[in-house]
Amino acid sequence: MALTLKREIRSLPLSTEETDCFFAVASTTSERYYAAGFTTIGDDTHMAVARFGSTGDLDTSFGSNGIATVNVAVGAVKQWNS
Amino acid sequence: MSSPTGQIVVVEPVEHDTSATGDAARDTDIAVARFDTTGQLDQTFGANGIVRLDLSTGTVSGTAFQGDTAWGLTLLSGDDLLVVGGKVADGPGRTDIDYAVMKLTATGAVDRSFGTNGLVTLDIGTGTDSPRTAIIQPDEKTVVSGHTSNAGVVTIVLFRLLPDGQFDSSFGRAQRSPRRLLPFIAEAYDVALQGENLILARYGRDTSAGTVDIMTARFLADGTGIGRTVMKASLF
Repeated sequence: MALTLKREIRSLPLSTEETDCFFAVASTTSERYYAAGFTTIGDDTHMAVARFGSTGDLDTSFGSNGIATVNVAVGAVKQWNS
Repeated sequence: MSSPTGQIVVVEPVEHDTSATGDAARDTDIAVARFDTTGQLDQTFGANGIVRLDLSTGTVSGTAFQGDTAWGLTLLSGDDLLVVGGKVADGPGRTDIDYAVMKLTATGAVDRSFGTNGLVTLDIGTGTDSPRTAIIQPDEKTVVSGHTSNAGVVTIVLFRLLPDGQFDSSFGRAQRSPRRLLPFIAEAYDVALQGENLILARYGRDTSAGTVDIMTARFLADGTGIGRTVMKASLF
């Protein structure tokens, strides 16, 4: 499969006012890929995984509008690697 | 990390006890979460999709706090998992981090046939170890990468495990391969196979202060080093 690289950067605000960060990326055989990290909601960080299609757009069939989160330690602030 | 069957697995450090106060509130565990292909927590994994690992009690180290940490996740055959992380070193007064490699089964249970009750630890002196990633060789041996820091000098570390979690005595020096490739800083962040050889992605510098450069290093299959490259040019 030919791969065309282009310089295009998109930002993805998982939460609109607090810190989000991706630390890892993984691809799938169906040309979709995942990015994993954390999002912050009310000073409480949550694990976060986003799924993108081959165009770089969020795959809205995954999680909630393309993003799955889980808050393992409720009220905590540290959930940051992936 | 995603599996061939489409599951997504994430590992991160999380607070040990969110109701704790003082320094105890800074203690951390390792959490592994598995999602299904729709983005819902996989209820067949751990407790409602989550496995928590409490390897050590955290401790204050200067102004920092050391607790369980995780960085790497490697998929094994049968959807088993290796978690590459760290724990506070055992022993009186120790405040440094050691390497910790844990094996989980496909259901999220600790595989107690691996290492010692599911856990392999590596203690390289009293410096703080920084575990990073692991890869599985075609012969099912595991190579773990990272680096260790002591007195301002950071040294890359490779070690190899047999499939049962025992150290591979044929690899490196004393089953591991800490190599001081630069006088001051050499941090390894990932390892990949190049045939039978091992390639490390890393950065470092040969002075006590200043900017760092992107570097790679190649090791032979027995863990002995054979070369390195330094890229000082701007990439973008």
